[in-house]
Amino acid sequence: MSVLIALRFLHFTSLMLVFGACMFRPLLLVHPSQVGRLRNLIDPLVCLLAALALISGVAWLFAVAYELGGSLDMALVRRVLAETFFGKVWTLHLFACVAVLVCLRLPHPKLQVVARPLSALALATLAPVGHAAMLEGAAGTWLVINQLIHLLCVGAWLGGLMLLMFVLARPGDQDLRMVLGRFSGVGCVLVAGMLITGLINTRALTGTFLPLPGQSGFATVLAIKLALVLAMLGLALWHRRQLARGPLDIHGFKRTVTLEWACGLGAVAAVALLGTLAPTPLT
Amino acid sequence: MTGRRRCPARRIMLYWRPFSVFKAIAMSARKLLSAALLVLVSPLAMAHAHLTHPVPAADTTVVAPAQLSLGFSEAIELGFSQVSVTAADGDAVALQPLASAAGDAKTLVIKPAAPLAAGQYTVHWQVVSVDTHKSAGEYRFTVSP
Repeated sequence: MSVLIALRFLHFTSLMLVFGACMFRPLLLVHPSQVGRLRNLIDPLVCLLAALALISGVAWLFAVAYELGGSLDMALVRRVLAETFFGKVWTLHLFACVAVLVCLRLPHPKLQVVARPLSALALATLAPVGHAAMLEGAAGTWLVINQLIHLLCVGAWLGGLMLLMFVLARPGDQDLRMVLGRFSGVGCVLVAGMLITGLINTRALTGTFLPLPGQSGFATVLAIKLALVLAMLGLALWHRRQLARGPLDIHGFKRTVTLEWACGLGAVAAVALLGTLAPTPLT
Repeated sequence: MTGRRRCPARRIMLYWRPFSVFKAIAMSARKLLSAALLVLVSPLAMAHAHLTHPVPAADTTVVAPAQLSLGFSEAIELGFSQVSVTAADGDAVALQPLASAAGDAKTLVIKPAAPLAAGQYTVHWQVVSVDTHKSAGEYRFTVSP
């Protein structure tokens, strides 16, 4: 059980960072002073994250097979892939993960562009896996679409923050105010999407918009996650205000952006745990 | 001026103006509203399969049923689910292979190989729901003589 939680965290995080990095690359790292670092540091790192995503994805499959069947032989894994809904989605998901890794590994500028929709597909195929799959019919489809938007928003946000940390660490001679302004504008839309879809998810899974912590393990972890998200939101708004006011304090920004990113990872860790808990107590 | 319009930085800067931000938020909000309505009005469903309507119902006395049906709160992965029935003396009742109801992945149908004799029976179920969660439970019913 705890192995599955760790794997869920690793997989969610690495895939989201890959997606966000692919999406925000053309927005944040266009300045000529960033090309060298892009090639030497960020591209290999994103490629490594994609490899991590693939490995943790395969391991996740084995962990689920072990949980369902109690053994780790290939016959069981094949049965899980062929017979269950999870397995069918996961087949597509793993293919997408492989494709993303190949695109990022081969040094061709066109493939970098192809990696963007592919990483979106990889993240999107995570939506029907887990609690979002529990409803049927039209409501079920809408819940999965809602989860999909949620994942894409969160992924883009976290990956973008990671790139922003790199830019802030060594901004070169570019106009930081413009880079931050661009990020902040897109970030606003992402955060709004994230909050709305998150609330819909909460309502659909638990029956209330704000389950009181202490009612169940699920509600407590959810409250912790919500606190982390609100902290992120507060920091984001604070950044916006700093940006609109006088001169930039880069060192301060660096610290708070890192803190914001850490809050985001904490929230993903909470989700990794939430996915294994029952939203409403089993009687 | 065309060069200016093409510049992605300029296009993105549009979002930076507060009004555009609100417009963008309002647009995504409107798109999500229909989704929200659908999910919000639907009755509370419960992730992890819960046994919601077993037939015969728990703790009831019935005439020997030709089949038992277990209705769950969400779709069940048939290949990874098990149901067993034991008589009052602890002997397992021989059952036909587990099946789901026609056109209803949420309901499992269990047919005893031979008609059930009078007495109390315990049904043990362990199922995997479509979101790959395991749940289990048991209940009793009585067949009247």
